[in-house]
Amino acid sequence: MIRARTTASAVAAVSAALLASACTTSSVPESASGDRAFRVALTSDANTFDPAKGTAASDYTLARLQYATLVNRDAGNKITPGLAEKWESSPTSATFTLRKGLTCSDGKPLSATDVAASLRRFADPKTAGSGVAMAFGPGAPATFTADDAAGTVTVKLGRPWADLLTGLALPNAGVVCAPGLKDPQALARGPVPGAGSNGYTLTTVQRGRGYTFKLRDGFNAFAQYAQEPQGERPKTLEISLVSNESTLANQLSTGAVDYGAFTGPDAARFRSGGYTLKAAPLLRMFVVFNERSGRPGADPKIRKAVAQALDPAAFNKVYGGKGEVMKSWSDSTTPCANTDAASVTGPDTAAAKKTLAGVNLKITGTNAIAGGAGNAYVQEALRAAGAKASLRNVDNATWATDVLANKGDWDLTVMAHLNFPGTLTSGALLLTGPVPPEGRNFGGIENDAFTAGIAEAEGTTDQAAQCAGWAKAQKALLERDDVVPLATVPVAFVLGKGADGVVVNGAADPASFRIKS
Amino acid sequence: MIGETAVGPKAPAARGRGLHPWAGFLLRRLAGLAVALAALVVVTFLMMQLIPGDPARALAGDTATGAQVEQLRHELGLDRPLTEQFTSYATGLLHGDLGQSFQTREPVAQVIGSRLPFTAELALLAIVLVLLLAVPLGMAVAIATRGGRRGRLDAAFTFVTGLVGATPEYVLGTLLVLVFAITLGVLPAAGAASVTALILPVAAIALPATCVLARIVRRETAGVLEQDYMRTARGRRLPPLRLYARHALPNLLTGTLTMGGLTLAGLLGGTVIVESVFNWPGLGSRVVQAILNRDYPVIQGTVLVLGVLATLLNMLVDLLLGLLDPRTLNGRNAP
Repeated sequence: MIRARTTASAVAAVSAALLASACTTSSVPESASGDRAFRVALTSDANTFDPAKGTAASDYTLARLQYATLVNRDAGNKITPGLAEKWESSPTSATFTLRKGLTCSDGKPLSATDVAASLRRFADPKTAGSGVAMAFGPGAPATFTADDAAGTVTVKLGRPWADLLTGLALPNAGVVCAPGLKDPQALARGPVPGAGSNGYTLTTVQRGRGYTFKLRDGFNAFAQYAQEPQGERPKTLEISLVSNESTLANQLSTGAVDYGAFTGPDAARFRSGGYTLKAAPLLRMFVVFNERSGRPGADPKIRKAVAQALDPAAFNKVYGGKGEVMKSWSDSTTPCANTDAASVTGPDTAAAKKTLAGVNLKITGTNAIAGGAGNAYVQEALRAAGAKASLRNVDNATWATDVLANKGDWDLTVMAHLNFPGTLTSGALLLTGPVPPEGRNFGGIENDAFTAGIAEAEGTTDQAAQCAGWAKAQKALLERDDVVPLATVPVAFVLGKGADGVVVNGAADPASFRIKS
Repeated sequence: MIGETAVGPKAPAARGRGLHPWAGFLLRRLAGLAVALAALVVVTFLMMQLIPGDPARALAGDTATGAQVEQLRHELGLDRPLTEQFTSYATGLLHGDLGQSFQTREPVAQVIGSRLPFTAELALLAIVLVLLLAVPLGMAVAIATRGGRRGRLDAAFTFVTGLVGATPEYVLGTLLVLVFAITLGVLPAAGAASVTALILPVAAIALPATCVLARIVRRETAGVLEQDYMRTARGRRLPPLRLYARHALPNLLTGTLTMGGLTLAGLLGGTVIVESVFNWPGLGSRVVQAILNRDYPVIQGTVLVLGVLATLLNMLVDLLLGLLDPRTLNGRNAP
């Protein structure tokens, strides 16, 4: 009897668990009948569905599907139409003429007033949005006016900022329709009927597991690219979360997934066999010093000696040697980035030893990238040059607290900059201006020539003049060794057999995915 | 004398001083449960405070200003004094509220409710498989090799169970994927979209545990088979099935159930790597994500729920052992 009861209990427990999980399993997003869904794998979950507040690659991917931007970016950072079919811009303003017949995801018209309201909310400091400084310039107020009759939206800036168009092409500036603006908390959590302005609508949310997006009928304001992908735009996009890259590779190779991105060695499995592999720089790695008074990094000789002690080519090999050895704080695909090796202090261990012998240097680095192997290289190189280098190899949250918020005891760090916009401005915003907590200048760099160069670059919309300004800014920063450029860590975007899509400026546009016949 | 009831070194239950053994047993276990719960609540809360790094900073991203981080910290309630945070947390628990995820703003109960069934499904199926395979296998090998017979079988059993038992689950899982998903293409490589997706992760978890338990059962069985009452039973020429099922098996269950309970409790919180290899949407993979994002409420809630489950499982095993062998009700095995 006892055994019978025990068996019955066990069977009941297993049945209950199976039933419970079956209930959950049954709600896995299914593709529309008759149409194969395009299956996207993301390696991490989104923090938010609110485009203004997105900070991670997953946030941007999901925002891009739902919320269209006024303009888009094609290869080489070329600005192309989005919700706006044309525009006129100067360093201090831009007027956008919207396409005719734009609608929100509930089918209601999307007016110029709606667009201006969305941008106003994005720029509002109370929103605490990401990418605001990138779009409108740091600390400068912007105003937004709309003319519904003419279908125009005008943005006026408090001070010149040539990156306005680039900033407005970022996912953070995605236009949210009125229902989303009325309920920001719901917007952050997921689907808000009628909030979307792009061609896909979020229909199913399973936090931590996956999401389903459906194509809107008749939507015609998708981003256009010089090299459009082949095939049909899928009516359903199923997004799953696969944190383990080897698992993702298994799913891609068995046809269970159509798209995934890799930073590790599993990408090598897709260099042949009918897959499409598009590599791009993901992280831009460079050394930043704590230049506050009393720190070794305040001494230009120490900074120069550290630069001499490090070999960026050797650093690149630490991460597999697939990256690019940089000559600035961003790589050569970034518009106006320095590519001249003569501008950068080169490796010279003998010279470094003369200055670094016996110098205490506290390195704090994030272990989020390959366990912090690059940090270990920097420590060993500095030790080889005679410095007493200690390393705190910590997780990203601790590193951000200690270094970016400057709450830790650190002398130098290996900055792993994501640079989603793919511009010099993105990194420069971390190297100038007020120090934390008021600003982002976590190293406490005071370099007037650098700041003046940025202002010159941002004060014009002429490409050549911008690059001239950036050249001055980079020269000023590199000759003082305020940063030591190292190398990029690339990401490989892999599209499965029968799938296509656009990868430009270091990011894949999920709204561009196609299923090839 | 050997009758229809199981024989073995059993004795009547020892009674406590004036208290029924079951009442004393339940009181002790419930008191232990209450202490364990209180300790879990305090320890998990304090543990979060000891982890370096600011959750708001981690969530706000690299380019956030100090003001933006401070605003987020305020929204998350992290700018309140520690005692106030704990009081709020504990009060919430008393009302069944485990809090809200910092990252996704979902109720933690909802996070756990959506994930736990998947982990439980893996763990329960694995433990059923382990018990169904390990007990007959261990017994059969012990019977077949009794008295030093079939030395090759003994050596093969020891080698294979030693090898598989020592193989980490993620290695076994990767090998299974390589063979059955990628090479043969007969099973899904990952995910939870179909029932067949269960086969490989359950196998990856169950096979090493089966081997370990089979070795224990084999040794226990070998010991039982040498007992006088088993010799007597064999002397009465009872049919083999009755001999081993009714007279040997009950005396193996104490160790087997204890091991099974511990294994199941371990599986509920310890399938993290297998869940990662098979992209199984269970609780383990969610906790890892929460730890990386400093999502305190999710970590606290998960540790608490897993702790409660482990405690309840141990209690259940003790209960079963008490039913099988009343001597254990007094917390000891000897009469």
